[in-house]
Amino acid sequence: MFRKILVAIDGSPASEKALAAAVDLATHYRAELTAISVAEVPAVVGLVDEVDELRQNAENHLREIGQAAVEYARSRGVVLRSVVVRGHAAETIVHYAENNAADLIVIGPHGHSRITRFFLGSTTDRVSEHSPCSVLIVK
Amino acid sequence: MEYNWEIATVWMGLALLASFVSIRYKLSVALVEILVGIAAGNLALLLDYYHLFGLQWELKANEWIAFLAGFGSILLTFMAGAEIEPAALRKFLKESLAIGTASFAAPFVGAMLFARYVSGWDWNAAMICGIALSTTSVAVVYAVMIETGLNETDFGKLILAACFITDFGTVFALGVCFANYDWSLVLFVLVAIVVLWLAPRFVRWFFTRYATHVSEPGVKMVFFVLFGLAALATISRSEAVLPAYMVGLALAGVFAHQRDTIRRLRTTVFAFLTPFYFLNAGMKVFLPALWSGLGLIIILLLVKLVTKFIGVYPLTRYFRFNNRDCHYTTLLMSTGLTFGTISALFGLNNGYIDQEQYSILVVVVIASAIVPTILAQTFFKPDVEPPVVVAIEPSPVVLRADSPDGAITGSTTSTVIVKRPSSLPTEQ
Repeated sequence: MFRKILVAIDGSPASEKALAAAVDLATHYRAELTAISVAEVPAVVGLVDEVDELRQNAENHLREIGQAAVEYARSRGVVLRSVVVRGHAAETIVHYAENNAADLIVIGPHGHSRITRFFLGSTTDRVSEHSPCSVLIVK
Repeated sequence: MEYNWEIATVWMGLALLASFVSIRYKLSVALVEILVGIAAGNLALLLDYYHLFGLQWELKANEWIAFLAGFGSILLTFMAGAEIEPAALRKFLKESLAIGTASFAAPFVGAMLFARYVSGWDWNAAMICGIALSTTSVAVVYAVMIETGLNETDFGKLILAACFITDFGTVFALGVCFANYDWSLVLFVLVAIVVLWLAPRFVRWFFTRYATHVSEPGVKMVFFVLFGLAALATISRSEAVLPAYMVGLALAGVFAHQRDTIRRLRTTVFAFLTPFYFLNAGMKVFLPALWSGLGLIIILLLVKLVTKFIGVYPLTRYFRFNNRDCHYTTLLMSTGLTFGTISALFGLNNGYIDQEQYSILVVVVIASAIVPTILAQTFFKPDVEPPVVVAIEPSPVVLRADSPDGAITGSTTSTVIVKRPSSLPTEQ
């Protein structure tokens, strides 16, 4: 049923559950599995160097998370490709799913802090609203 | 002396708090420092008003804090100038010069005339208003473009080059509008010309010779040049950020190959100097003035947006950007933050504007960092594929026969990919 699965990871406990579920599904359906992490940089900044530092930190952090995800999947006998993409989380996940013809997005219920969710809304809500394919929210 | 340590402890504590908040909520540390400064300064005023615990509550910058804050603003400006890509500026000289100049001139004139004839500010205050609202935030534009990968495209480089021209207009106006036109200005201009002419070759040689020395003679030499020009600028009642920005521009090509020096300089600036600058800028904002000036804040923000539109939009059409990119560019050129606060603080420190006018201007500047960015990103963001910056490709899973438990082994390899989206857009 599912041939291309995209799982969103950000290092939060919720995204670890999503990864575990995605690996199980990929095993079951023998699906191609990709993990996506989105490096977000605040747009309102005072200094160019600050942008570079924030970007570099976010990308390095997510690279480590991606490598850990690849290792985890491999320990379960699943081949996982991990990518780090720049952008806004929800928009980028949906965009990547569209461009790569994913037929399932697996995502945790939340990754942001409560305050961020309150002001900006949940990434999961926006992904499920705009996704071109099925979305599995793992709780 | 003990009192100095107490003051330093309080200020560094506030800077530390701002760092924690910015890291925890992924916000700009510069913005958070301004906001922490506003909160702390006004809280201190409130506590002092009620003589809480019978103590005197005061958070005003004393002489040495004012000096550190001023030094912070000079280095901020210098580093902003040094970030320009000279090759991009040369490649898009005509377009960036036209858009950048219009982006400075239209809001400068528009906001100045509005402040003078509608708000009734005196000429000096009106000029400060025009200068503070003429800025474009290179950092905000860069952050937005990094997200889409547009900074790697011709289109992005053109816009960034135009931002530098706008900021040059801002520091130039600060430098010339309030200067004393006498022998001291002539001396300052002559020395600045000689320094700017000699600096690139001399600094390149100096860094080749001494860059790796542990006592950082290269950094000291940059400070020496900046202090000297700042002293001359101050004597002629010009503004020290003008030579700092020009030295930064002149040395951009040299510093492009001195990333280690820039990194060490940045550590000094971010850890010790800019917190004093941004906290100080925030502390001078008087919150009650914002309520009474709320209408003016909204109108001045609109004045900035409209005058930027008048200046920038027709030129983007002239240079055959597509319609979406015209609006996107115009809105990005309407952002502002660091140079806006530097201009307003210059006005307050020199008595050209009062605290109420300063408070209004700083809030308009902060709003101009947020509102146009949201509008641009929500409605006019170019349709480019988000850049994949890291791709970790797994090696094939191998079952090792010699493994005692038949464990799966193998290693992962990571590849860094930076996609470069489309080049300069054309009329569609």
